[in-house]
Amino acid sequence: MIESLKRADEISRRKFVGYLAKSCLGVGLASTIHPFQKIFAAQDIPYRPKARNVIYIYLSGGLSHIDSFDTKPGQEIQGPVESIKTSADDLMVSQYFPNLAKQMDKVAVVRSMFSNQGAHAPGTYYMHTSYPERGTIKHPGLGAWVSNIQGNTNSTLPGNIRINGGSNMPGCAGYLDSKHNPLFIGNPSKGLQNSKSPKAITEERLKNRIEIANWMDHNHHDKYDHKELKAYTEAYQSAVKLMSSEDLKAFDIDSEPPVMHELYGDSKFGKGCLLARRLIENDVRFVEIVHGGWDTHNDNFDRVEELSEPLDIGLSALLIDLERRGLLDQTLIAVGTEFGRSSKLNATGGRNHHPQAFSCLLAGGGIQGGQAYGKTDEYGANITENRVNVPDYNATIAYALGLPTDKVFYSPEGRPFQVAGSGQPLKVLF
Amino acid sequence: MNSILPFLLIVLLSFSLTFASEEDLAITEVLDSMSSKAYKNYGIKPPPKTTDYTFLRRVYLDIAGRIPTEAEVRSFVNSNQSNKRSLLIDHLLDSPSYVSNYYNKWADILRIRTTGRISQNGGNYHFSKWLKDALQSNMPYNDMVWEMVTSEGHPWENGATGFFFRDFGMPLDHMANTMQVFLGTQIACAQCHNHPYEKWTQKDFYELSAFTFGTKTGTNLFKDDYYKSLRNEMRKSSLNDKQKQVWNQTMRQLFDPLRYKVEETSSSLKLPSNYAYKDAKADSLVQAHVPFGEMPEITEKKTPAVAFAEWMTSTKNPRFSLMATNRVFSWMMGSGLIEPVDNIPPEDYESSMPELSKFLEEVFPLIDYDLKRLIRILANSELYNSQSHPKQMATKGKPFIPGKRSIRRMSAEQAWDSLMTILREDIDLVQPGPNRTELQYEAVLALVENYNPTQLVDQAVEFFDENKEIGDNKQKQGIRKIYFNLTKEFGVDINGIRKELKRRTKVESFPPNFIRASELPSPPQAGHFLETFGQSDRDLIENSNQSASIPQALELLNSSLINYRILHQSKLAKKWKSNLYDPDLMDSIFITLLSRIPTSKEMAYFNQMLPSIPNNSIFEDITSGIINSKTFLFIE
Repeated sequence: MIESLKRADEISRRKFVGYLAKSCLGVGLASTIHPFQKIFAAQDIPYRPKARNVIYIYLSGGLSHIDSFDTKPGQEIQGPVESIKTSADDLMVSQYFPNLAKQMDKVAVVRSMFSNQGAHAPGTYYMHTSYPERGTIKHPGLGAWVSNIQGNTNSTLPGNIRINGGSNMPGCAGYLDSKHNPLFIGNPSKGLQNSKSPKAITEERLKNRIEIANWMDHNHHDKYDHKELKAYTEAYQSAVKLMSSEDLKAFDIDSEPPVMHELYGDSKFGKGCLLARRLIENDVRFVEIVHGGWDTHNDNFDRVEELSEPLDIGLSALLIDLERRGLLDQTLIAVGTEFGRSSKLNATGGRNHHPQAFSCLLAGGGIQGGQAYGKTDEYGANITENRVNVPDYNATIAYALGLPTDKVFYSPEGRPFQVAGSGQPLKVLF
Repeated sequence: MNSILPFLLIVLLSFSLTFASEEDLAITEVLDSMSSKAYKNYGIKPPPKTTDYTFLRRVYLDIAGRIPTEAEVRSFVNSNQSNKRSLLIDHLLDSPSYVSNYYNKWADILRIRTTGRISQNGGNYHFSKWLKDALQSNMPYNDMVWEMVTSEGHPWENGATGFFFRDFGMPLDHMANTMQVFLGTQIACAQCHNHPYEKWTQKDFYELSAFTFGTKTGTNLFKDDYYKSLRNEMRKSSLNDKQKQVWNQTMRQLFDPLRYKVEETSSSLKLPSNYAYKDAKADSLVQAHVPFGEMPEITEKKTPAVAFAEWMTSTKNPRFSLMATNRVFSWMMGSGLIEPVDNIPPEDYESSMPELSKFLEEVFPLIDYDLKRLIRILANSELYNSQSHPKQMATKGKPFIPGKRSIRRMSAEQAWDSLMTILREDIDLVQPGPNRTELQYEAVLALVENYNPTQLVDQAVEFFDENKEIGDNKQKQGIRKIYFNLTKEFGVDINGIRKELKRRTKVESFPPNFIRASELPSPPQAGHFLETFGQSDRDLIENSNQSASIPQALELLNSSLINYRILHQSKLAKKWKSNLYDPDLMDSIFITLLSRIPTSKEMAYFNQMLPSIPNNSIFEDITSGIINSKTFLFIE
């Protein structure tokens, strides 16, 4: 009974939106061409990309590869950290990832990552954009490229969303139009800011307010008829649509059953993963979840253990949940970080920055799980096999999505750029 | 093109005994004669003059950076003085709002960041203070640029050094940015290869960079005598290694500001090792040289940075004045005569009014690079006072067209400051609370000045002996706290900031962050109004934007700033709360929000909406409706 009442309410809300969109704002919805149709019409790519969406987990601060996904059992530098077996043969991870160990058959570990940036800001910039930081141009992040090249699939929700991070982290729209900027969700439990009317404002009053705004605009419509102003009409239309859209529920993780909260864990990161899954389900193309604090210059082992727990729980929950929902094949999960950490411990039991060798993960979206690509030496200090530069890693993500990695795009000043810089995709991982 | 100067000189001479403002009006007349001529050339009718209302809103937003209050609108409209527009311009130029508004514009150009550790320690706070002081005292533009380009020392000794710190450790990028900002010359491409479409070569770029390459932005903390002896004292102390390590880390962070120092060194620039052109050898030393104009002399007494500043700000360098006047023109008129403003081709640039471009370029040095005078000259002009064109929208890169003044969306700061003006009429008077960054600098300096290293180490030893069991982070905080307690007697009370903010929150009717955008930290936290409306993230030159977005619509429709503050606590809200039958109410709403009275059509529309027994809700809805209309957010 209550369920059906709720449903009726939902339908009347949706009718209401339709009414607002049509009558108040005067514009109907244009049908959109599916982004893949555009891509395949223009390009002939032999690999048929499976990934539609990306969940990009960014471990800011620099993940210690030695204590996570490139362990060195038996070496003194390994300290107290044990390696454990996983669901993939010959693939070991550290004891800090007991849950993920059971899902490693779905994950490819890239153990030969290489960056030429040894400080956080430029390293983070490089990881997000495939270009070294310059004072004169800002390069777009992958999410913005996806939005720019392939467009949105969901007509109500933005196509690029960043959870637990803001605009101060690079990899936003860069020089591209600001509409490709990620929408920032600072707190996954709170969802999208200002997406609901204050309690005192009934639907009737909201309608009235929008009618007034619309009348004022109409009154000046002949006076100011310009596309910039129309962009505002469209933004309001989308906002109002979003406010009463069923899709807005995508931001509400409270509506998940307790068992889901249990699966993803109680951490801010876990909640971010749960939110990301809901957004992906609603066809948001690119979701980034930031999980920071990995700059373990002090007490490395304690800190890595602390930070790994939510990562272990959240990431394995994503893998289990997406697979169960049949979404893993079309969702690429990437786990990146700006650099690794030194094998030698410093005086305070910490590990320092180490861009010469580190590990990143890829899973789902057509990636062959249960494999390790590239090798480092016995101390995890240098790459001994199959070096992967940062742009190559990003090119692999782009390739999984069917983005053209060798096509040149021009900035408004006429400078040439590519989606993943000079990166070459690691096709062997698929 | 011939110089326009002789004619101008006659104008100036004939007014030499009068006040500058009258002299400026005479210059405006010359400018007006040029626009009349341009209308003839373009074969168009001169556009009609704006109403007082439109002018008022426009000039407030352009000079004061906010909409006028109801009282300000009424006093202007009721004035019978024939020269009231000129008087208002003078009044606004002298108001504190002028500083706030133009600070926002320059902060966007100079990328002044006041949030984030590196920005805070690296002198951006002092840079922002220096800039506000320079605008307040109306420092001539050429002096402002000179002070920045030749600045030396620590941030607290010379705030202008922030200009160098902004490109900390990136001297090549710094030169590219300097050329773009002050000469409208984009040579960044030539950093890595010859410029693809313009004449700049990679060698040009390196020769130019050689002027300021020796200007270093940071020093090693261990070069500081005080810090060095502090560390030595600690080494000798009785603490164990772990405790020493914790203390060392705390000190490295605390004394980090001492590292930032602009210093002239003898370090010289070499061409990159992958240099691929035949005009020079890879890895060879580069001699400073200018890409155009006269080569300035470098002597023993004159550092290369000073020589560079001489060349750049010289009256013989036409780009210097051309760039600045075109930029100010674009601020006042919505777009520059030459666009993009900061990418003017080396030769044969195209101006939509070439005679006017040249005129402004030559006038600026004659009025001593006085920014306020330049703004006054433009604001009084016929071009500024004419109606905007319905189909013309300000777009980056599209030059000004005579007779087609564009409309613009308010900048993020203008929108915020305007909402603040609606909310609290004292907005120009409220001062920001204590600034942690500033106090942290002062605390470090107070420690260095008043305590010898032994005293500080003794305090630390005592602290560690008493707090052996607590964790590292607690120990770090504890040490900072006892050191900050020491500085209290010298008037620097960091530990008291929180208390002070609490006190302010209690006694004042509005939160401490409801102040002008220029006084708020920037870039702000994610989701702040300023970020949502496109304030620059301060990463790139002029990186602010005015594009529409969904969160903007959500903010204006649903935020508590609008729904709770403005619709309940503003002077306007208090007006309808005190008398729902006040016949002036609709006038007040329109004047407060749109700086004009309603038209008869609008009056009729809203009157039929009012119920026979009016209530608060209907006025709330009308106010919200108007704020959400484009008439509020766009400037005619």
